[in-house]
Parts: sequence; C-alpha cells; structure tokens
Amino acid sequence: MIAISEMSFRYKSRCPVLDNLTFNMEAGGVYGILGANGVGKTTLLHLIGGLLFPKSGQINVHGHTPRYRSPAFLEQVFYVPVDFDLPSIKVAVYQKRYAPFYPEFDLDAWNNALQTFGIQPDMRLQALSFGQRKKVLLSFALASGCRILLFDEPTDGLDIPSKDSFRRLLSAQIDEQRLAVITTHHVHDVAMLLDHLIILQEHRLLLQASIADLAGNIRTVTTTQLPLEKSLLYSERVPGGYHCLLRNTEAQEGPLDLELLFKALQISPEIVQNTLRYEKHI
Amino acid sequence: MKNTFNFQRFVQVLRLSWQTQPVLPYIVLLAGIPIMYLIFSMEARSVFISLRSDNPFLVFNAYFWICGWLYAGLIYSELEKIGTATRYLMIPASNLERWLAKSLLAILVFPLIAWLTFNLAFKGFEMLSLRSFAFRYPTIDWLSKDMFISFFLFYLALPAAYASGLT
Repeated sequence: MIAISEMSFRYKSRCPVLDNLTFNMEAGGVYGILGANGVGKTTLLHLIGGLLFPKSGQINVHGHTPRYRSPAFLEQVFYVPVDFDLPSIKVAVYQKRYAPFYPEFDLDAWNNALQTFGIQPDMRLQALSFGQRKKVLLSFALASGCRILLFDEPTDGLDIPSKDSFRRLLSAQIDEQRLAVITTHHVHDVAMLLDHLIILQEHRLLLQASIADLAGNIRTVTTTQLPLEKSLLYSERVPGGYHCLLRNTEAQEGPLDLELLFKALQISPEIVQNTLRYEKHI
Repeated sequence: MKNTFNFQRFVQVLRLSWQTQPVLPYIVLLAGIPIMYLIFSMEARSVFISLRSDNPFLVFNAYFWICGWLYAGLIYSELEKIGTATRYLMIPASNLERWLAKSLLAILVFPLIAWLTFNLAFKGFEMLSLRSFAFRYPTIDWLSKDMFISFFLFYLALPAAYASGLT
C-alpha cells in the first residue's frame, strides 16, 4: 500500500533528514514509527502525505505518487498533525464543511467517535481545550473513510480514558483495506495497537519488523536480581529490580516492552539486531 | 502537478474558500462607510461645491483599492501557519481548483461586494444630503474610461499578482 524505495530527503541545509530509506507498508496494519527527536518521523509523514517531496527515490501510496497531490490521492489520505489548527466554528459545522471532500465519509462513525470522546456537536471548537480539539480531529480522521491514516503523536493532549477510546476506535476502523501509520514518543499509549514497528536512527532505517516476529525473538521481564543468563540483551534499573530485554530462546509468550526495545536499539543496535533471526528485515 | 478540474469539486472548494475567507477586509469595508460620509458631508457643507465633483469617484477608488488589496493580501493567509497550511493543503482538490476558487473571490466576488457596498452607502448619503444640505453629487458613470482604467490597471493588478502567487 505504501512503497518507499531508496528515498532521501533534505531541507535546504546539506544534512539529510532521511537517507536512502526503503521499506513497504501493507494494508490491514497499524505501523508505529519510533525515533529520537529530529530523526525525521514527521518529515516522513509529510513525504507520504505529499506535503514534502523527496529529493531522490520513489514513494508510492496506494498507486499514487504523493508529490503530484492529485485529488484522488488526497481523498485516500488523512493526516492528523501534531501541530494542528481548527477554525472557529461549531463541531457539526466543521463536519458539514469538510466531509463533502471525502466520498467515503461515514457519518455514523463520526457520531460514534464524538460520543465516545464525549464531544457535543454543538460545541464551538475555539471554546474547547487542546485535547478536546484533538478528539474532534481524530474523530474526523477515523470517520473520513480514507484508506491511509497518518497520525503524528495522536495521543498527545488526550486524557487516559480518551487514549483507550482512541485505541478502540482505531482498531475498529482498520480492516484489510486500510492502513494507519503512527509516529509517537509515547509508545506505551499505542503499543497495543501496533502490529509493525519501524525504528529510525540517524536518518536511516534501523529496524522494520512485525510485532509478532519481535515477540518471537525477544521478551521483556522485570526481576529483582539482574539475570546472569546469556540471553540478557539489555537491562535497566527500575524501582525494586531490573527491567530486562532477553532473547526469547524458548518461544515463551509474554509482553514485549517496545520502549525498552527502543532504548536497547539506541544504545547497542548490533546486539538486538544479531538476536533477531529475520535479518533481511533490518 | 496534476491539475485536474472537476466542476462539482471546484464548487465545494469555492464554497469552502468563501466560508474561510478573511474577515478583516469586510470590517474595513464597513468601517470605511462613516469615513466616506464624513468626506462627503464636509464637501456638502463647503461653500465651494463643484457640480462636477470627482470626489465620489476618488473616494470609491481609495475605498475599493484599500479593501481589495487587503483582501487579496490575506487570501492565502492559511499558508502562514503550519497548522492551517496543513489543513488547507490536505483538502482533496487540485491546485488548479484551489487557485481558481481564490482568484474568483479576489478578482470578482469581493470587488462586486465592495462596489455594491459603496453604492448602497452612496445612495444612503444622497438621500440624507438631499434632505439635509439640498446637495446632490452628479451620477457616477461606472462605465467610463477612467473607471475602466482604475479597475483593470490599478485595482486588478495587485490582487491578480497576489492570487497568482507572483508576490
């Protein structure tokens, strides 16, 4: 659904923001993009959304080249930026004004999302808090019927129950025809949603893998004593013990802490990479 | 860029551009009416009344240019901030449709509204001035050569440049 091939991008300065990226994203999945500040996560979303154009390489999104910004492409892509602005109108007016541009807009999904988030259609957008306005934008994105949903820090500004609501609403919307891409620093907020992980480091692709593959090779445990076993890949002290990343040698089922995995990859990418059996993905 | 054109979508873009157009030029348009009345009434009270006064024409031009240029200068104000720019640029429409919608508002719709507003205000002044000062300006010839030059050469040049992205 999204195919990126040898794509590089730089702003006016010489330093590349994204360098020679190649990867695919398939429909039916929720992809999480992680990376340190300034690594190019938001830039990557802008490139996929056709707001920026690659300096070299190709991007293909659902059969379209984003840089052409054709209406048929824009009808299929909805981008929820971290820095957004909504007009000073009522919530219902916002829907009436913008929904006609999206042929597959689902009014029931819109009403359901608003109800779930506790937003009344007669509320004025300017009277709402940042988090409430974010809920309106997320509701619109989820109801837009777009095949590709791009979220930049979607849980930023949301309260704890709303984060859960967002996860449930997004899960309900993603089917075999749709794809969601989420960039975030709050990986715990969306970890349960993700089924693919992309990690960027120093403007390059450090890791792309499905969560299932990762969980089959790596596991996380919290122990009072630092394990001495060979399977230990990375550990950090936490109150009352150690949080450890281990090789999943016996294919044990258990939760995988993506934040710990991210930290381990930042500090010693080679250790984790060597552990993963599917090196072709890296 | 693929500049496809679809009339139905263009109407939607035009409607959206109308709904999200800048408000400030309309405020200036209304605020200009009392100033216009002040200028006219000063001339009506003057002992040096010229029966062929060009004042309405000059006032109209100043009023029209200030408001029109302000409107044209603000028509792409969405692009100033990243939040509004993202919203505007992600609307499913071609660049041609967006540009035509903005240009139509800046070059045709707003000037027409400004002209109608001026005419209504001017008629109102005429009614008042006839009663108060027994004074009436000569009728403005809207189809005169001066008006043509004023509109096409002076007024339209700047909005057209703004709307087309040249400035």
